[in-house]
Amino acid sequence: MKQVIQQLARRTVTAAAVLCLLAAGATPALAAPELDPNTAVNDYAEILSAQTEEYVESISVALQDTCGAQIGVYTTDYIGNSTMEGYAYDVLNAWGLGSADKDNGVLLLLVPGEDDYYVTRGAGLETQLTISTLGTILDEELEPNWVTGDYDTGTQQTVRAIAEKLCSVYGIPTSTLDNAAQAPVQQSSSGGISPVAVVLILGAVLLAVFVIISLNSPRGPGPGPRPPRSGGGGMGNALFWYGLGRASRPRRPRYPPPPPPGFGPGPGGFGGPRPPRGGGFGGPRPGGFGGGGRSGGFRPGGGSSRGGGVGRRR
Amino acid sequence: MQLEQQETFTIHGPQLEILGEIETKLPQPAKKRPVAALVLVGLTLVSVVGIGGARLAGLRSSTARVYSAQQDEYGHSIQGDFATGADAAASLIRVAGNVLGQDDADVQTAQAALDAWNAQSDAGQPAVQYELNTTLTGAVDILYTAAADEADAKAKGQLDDLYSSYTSAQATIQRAAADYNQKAEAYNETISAFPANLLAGLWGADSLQSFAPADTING
Repeated sequence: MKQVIQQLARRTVTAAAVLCLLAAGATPALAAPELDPNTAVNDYAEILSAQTEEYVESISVALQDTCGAQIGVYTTDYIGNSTMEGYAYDVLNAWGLGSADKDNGVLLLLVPGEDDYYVTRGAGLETQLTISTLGTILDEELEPNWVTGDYDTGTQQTVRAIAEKLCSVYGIPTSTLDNAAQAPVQQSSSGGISPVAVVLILGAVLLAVFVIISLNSPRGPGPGPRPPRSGGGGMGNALFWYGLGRASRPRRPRYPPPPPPGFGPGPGGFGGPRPPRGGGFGGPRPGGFGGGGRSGGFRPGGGSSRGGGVGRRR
Repeated sequence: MQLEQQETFTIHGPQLEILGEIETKLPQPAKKRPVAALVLVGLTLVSVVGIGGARLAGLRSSTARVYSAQQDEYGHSIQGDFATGADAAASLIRVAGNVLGQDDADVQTAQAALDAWNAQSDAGQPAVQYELNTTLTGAVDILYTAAADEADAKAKGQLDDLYSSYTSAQATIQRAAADYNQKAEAYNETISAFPANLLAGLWGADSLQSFAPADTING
């Protein structure tokens, strides 16, 4: 009976190891983002130059390092069956712009295919960055360049103006922005394997090693005296007893996580092309990774928005 | 022999002494086991009805509060957003009135809708607020379109600002109200099932209105 139980435990552990390996292998595909959260510009419409992207990134990193605020620019040709407000809401929350404790992100959404744009901000900036303020910035900085198709100039000026407003909100000298704009942009370590995948792969490898060792461990008496068995010798038995103990404890009901915002009936409708699923959806908040030292580059802080904002005035 | 084997019982603890004293003072019928069982059943029912009903009433109160008073960490609330929207609407109506004339039909219609909102809006009646808000939004949309066509650059800028403020507030209201509606529907489902429906009736924990057209309201 004991042998049967041990065999069952070994098979269970082996199966778990296999599942972990499969999950680790599958993780990159499941988490493939339509939004790169580790950069301040996602130019899917390909209307911005590399210089503009660097400029925006440097401004955003400067703000990020001083007050946690972040400005993100997202471009796409079309937003499909959604409203500009709804799409911007989904993007900002998926991106996690701004710090999690201040919700001070700002998103500039540019949709050249529909000749439209929109700006929204996090919940913590609604009072400081009023609709009127943002509307004025768009009218003065973005619109004149938008009509001529000079998206780079319009974007840079708009981001600069928003950044200056944020500086005044948080009492930061605007020279911070000037210094950041002149400094070379540090390449963020984006594009590598996601930390979640690394942890899973490492865990799977360790589990596999343990399984192999426990399967190959000697069964009969060894050359020397065996240590006394105290409820199970070795990690294999310990794992088995741990598993039994877990099974015998009454289970707490597990409630499904709340649905991600913007993916159900709402004022924004259903997006299509779907708004991006970045690190902020269905997984750990991006702010938890690499959040210790922010000076290394742009890292989304996990901020959120209630929605609202202002768009192009016809 | 029997007397020698008879055991003497010693009561330990002051609590048992008190209970013993109380028991001695009870009338004879009350000392009987069936009576004690009956009292126990009665106490159980009171506990269930009392505690269960209180919880239902508390659930109703907390759910209703999501719509009527709850604020986030920044002080934002659904009612606060309504107030912001109403302010923007009021200013937009005035600016539009300067552009189109106060006697303009669209101006009058919007003003009437705003007056109705101000007069009857009650945070405890989401369905009523829904109707009033829908009417006001429609009137503001029409008025903005009409006035923007006629306005000069300065007035157009003002109208744009105010209209953006209004629509922005509406966007957050719709989203927050959708969240409230989910909670209200979950509550209404809870109290429609037995025995919650009995307890709800006893404790006055009636159904909650949703922020939706009246014909879709539960209860």
